[in-house]
Amino acid sequence: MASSSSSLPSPSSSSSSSSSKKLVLRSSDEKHFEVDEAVALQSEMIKQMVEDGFGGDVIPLLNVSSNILSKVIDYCKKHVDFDSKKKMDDRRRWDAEYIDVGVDELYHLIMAANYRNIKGLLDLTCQKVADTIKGKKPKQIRIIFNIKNDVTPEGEQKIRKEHSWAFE
Amino acid sequence: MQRRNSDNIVVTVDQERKKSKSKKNGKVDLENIPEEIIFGILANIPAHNLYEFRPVCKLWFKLITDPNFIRQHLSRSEPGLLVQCHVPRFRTIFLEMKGERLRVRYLNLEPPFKTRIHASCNGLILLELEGANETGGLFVANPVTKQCIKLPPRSSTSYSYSYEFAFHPATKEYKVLTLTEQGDNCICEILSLGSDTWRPVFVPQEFRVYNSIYVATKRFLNNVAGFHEDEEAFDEDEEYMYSMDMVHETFHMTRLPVSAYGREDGLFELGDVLALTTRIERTSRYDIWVLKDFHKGDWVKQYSVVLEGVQFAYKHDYNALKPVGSLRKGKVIIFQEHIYFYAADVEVGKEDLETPGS
Repeated sequence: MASSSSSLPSPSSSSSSSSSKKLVLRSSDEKHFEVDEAVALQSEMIKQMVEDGFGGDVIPLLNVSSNILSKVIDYCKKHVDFDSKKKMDDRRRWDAEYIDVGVDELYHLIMAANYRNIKGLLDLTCQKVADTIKGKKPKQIRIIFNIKNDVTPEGEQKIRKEHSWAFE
Repeated sequence: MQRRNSDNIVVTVDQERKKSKSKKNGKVDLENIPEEIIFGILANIPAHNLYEFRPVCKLWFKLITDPNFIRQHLSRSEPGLLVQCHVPRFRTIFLEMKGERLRVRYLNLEPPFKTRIHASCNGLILLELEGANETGGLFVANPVTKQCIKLPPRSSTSYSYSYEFAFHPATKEYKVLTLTEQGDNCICEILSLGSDTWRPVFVPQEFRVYNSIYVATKRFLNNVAGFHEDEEAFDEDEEYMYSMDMVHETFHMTRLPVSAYGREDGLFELGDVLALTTRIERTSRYDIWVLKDFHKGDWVKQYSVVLEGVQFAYKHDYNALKPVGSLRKGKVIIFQEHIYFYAADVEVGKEDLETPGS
């Protein structure tokens, strides 16, 4: 996993209002991020942990690197803002820019969104992958997802044959 | 959501770590994505692309053809409108919103489909093939998968003037309805898909239409077919809409809020309610009336839209302009005039002219 931290906002600098409750998240490369509770609670997984009484400690996110975590936190912060304003156009524009990333980063974001259970980010990343792969041939799809082809040529032919009109 | 404790989080994390280590030097791409994420990705792929993905592998084939997935996919996809123009001969046009624009394109259904599409429902089409008895007849078809089923023959052989195709979500039942003129009588037959016989439905006297060529059926709330006409037996100032509840198979008569001047084509579905448009005379302004409560017959004048483009771009007859339906859950009304389509945003009141492109 990537571990470069040169482009990161300095950890713990993410507080916007000092009065609200904070949570501390720790990335796989041992960086700490202090975020508002409302931001962290965008993640259903963290919400569950807080409800179970783990909120006071540092929350370890062992499979999320600091650069991915900082990107995920960006998303959660922005969407806490959006939720209070309800400007759909702004949200769409921001999301489109946010998700304009390479396949590698997209992969880590999708895994992080799934693991931390952030529904909005998961929908956004799934939509992005869908837009990327739609219109591609099965062969290209297998390469992208590293899928072993377990359909025999006869099986494939049979599937394709079904795809023609059969008026009786 | 599943409850987790911190112990099993660590377990998952360790597994993930091993996986990522094993491919550390290779290109990551999108391998090892859990099945539930694949499900989420595929749910966002348009149906016609998705269908091409079936041969990818057994897991994808299983996911794509799973009824539960198909239901989810249907509920996520944004509906479009299918319009068939009889001139040029039976061209099928598909309309959908792409961002803020109305996208209009010809849908190539391939040769057998130079024929009449009578109705559509949930992406399925009800069509009639012309020709000899054995090849002709009514079919329900899926234009994406190209699956089709031939419907059993009806008891009446005369030409039906009205067809309807509806889905009842509670029973997951599809029903096809035909109205056929026979002498002075009106024969109504319903087929529940899966059954092999048509059921005759008694049509009350006042709902029988003798001389009407312009009876139209419209689906409403997924289960009401409405047909509407002037009826001299009633007060001349009042016009009524005749409709049929396709679930309970009952007939209803609803007074219209304003005169439609005997034109049935002002009725259309606006989101999940029935609406009526009337043009303000000598203007390009249209009032949109909405039937808020079907059983009480409460109409409310909800919107007013101005189709300015019609006025200066084309000097066509306003009377040829009619609503064909709505997109974006009733936020955008689509008007049609020959092969011209107008999208009117009910909130903004402005319109956008489109013709079918490539």
